[in-house]
Amino acid sequence: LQTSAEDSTLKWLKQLQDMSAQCSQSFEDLNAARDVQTKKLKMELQKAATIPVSQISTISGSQLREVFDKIDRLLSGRAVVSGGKSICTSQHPKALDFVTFKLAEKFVRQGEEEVASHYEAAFPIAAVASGIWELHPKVGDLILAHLHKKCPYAVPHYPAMKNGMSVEEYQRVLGYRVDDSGVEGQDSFLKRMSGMIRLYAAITQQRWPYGSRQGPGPHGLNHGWRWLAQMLNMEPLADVTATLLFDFLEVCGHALVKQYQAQFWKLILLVKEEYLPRIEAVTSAGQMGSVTRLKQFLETSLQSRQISPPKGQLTSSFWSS
Amino acid sequence: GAAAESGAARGTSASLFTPQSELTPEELNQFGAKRFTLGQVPLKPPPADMLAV
Repeated sequence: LQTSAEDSTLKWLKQLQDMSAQCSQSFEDLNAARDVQTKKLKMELQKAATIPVSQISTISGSQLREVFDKIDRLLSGRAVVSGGKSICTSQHPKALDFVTFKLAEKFVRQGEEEVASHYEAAFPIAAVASGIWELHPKVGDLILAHLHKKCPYAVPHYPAMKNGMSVEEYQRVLGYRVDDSGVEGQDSFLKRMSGMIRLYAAITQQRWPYGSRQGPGPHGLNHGWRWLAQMLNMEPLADVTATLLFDFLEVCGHALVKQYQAQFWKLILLVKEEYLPRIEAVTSAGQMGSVTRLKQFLETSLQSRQISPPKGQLTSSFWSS
Repeated sequence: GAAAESGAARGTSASLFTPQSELTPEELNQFGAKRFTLGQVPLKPPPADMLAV
């Protein structure tokens, strides 16, 4: 097994990071503005981009459509009402780049915070993200760039320690939060990573039902296949690998079986018979919780020859509500 | 699918299935076999006409 992802995967990762850095550079003027007017405009643009995302919920399909339309209008250069005031990206030459960047960042943060505590929230957030991604592809690229940076396992990629890197720096690269009081605990770290992986898994299978295009969503199940295949070709890490494989399969396994049938069952069998022993070999006795959950999931799926649909998946009655 | 993707994302994305003509002999072997070989799972999704093994 390899210790690193394939070159094509790493190249894709780098392209997205470069693009994201370029985008953030392009609105530097707006970001660093000192005059009161521009600072105020910046705050209002940021709110207009992020508040709708925090309003995404499982209340009703019609509420989700309202959120979607609001974001779409903002990105299309039309005026939206935010905080009682009308705002539009034509108010500043860099406003569109800025809201696109902040919006993508917010989607990922909702995975890290909201989905991490409420797994079911992955589906409505993924539905809106996928629909916006389809209409505004740059949002999608930036979602991937933010996601990869905060959770390299979403690539999937296990960053290696580079020469001259401090331990703190390396912990940050691995996705840990590090501040003055030290590095965050393993439980908190794994919870955030789970939230982001679950959101990613939901995006690959979820499509915005009111789009005009046919076929798969903008980042479809072929990426679900690619993610799993790339994970299984790499040496597992203790804790992280078992946790994230379970999260991913629980959200996406049902859809992947439907799509890839016997080829997907071959993957499941490979995990159970050859990959799981590798995971167990790198896991210490005190960390077996995630391994046990994964093992049970695989055994239940293979015995019943089916994978249950994920809890919280959006139904047709949701969409008509 | 592919038409909706922009520049950077296009690199590794195609459609839901991979045409047999775009797979290497090794990848075709993996999809044709009863089992995958550890470490050699193709990153490209399987061809649409190889879903039953």
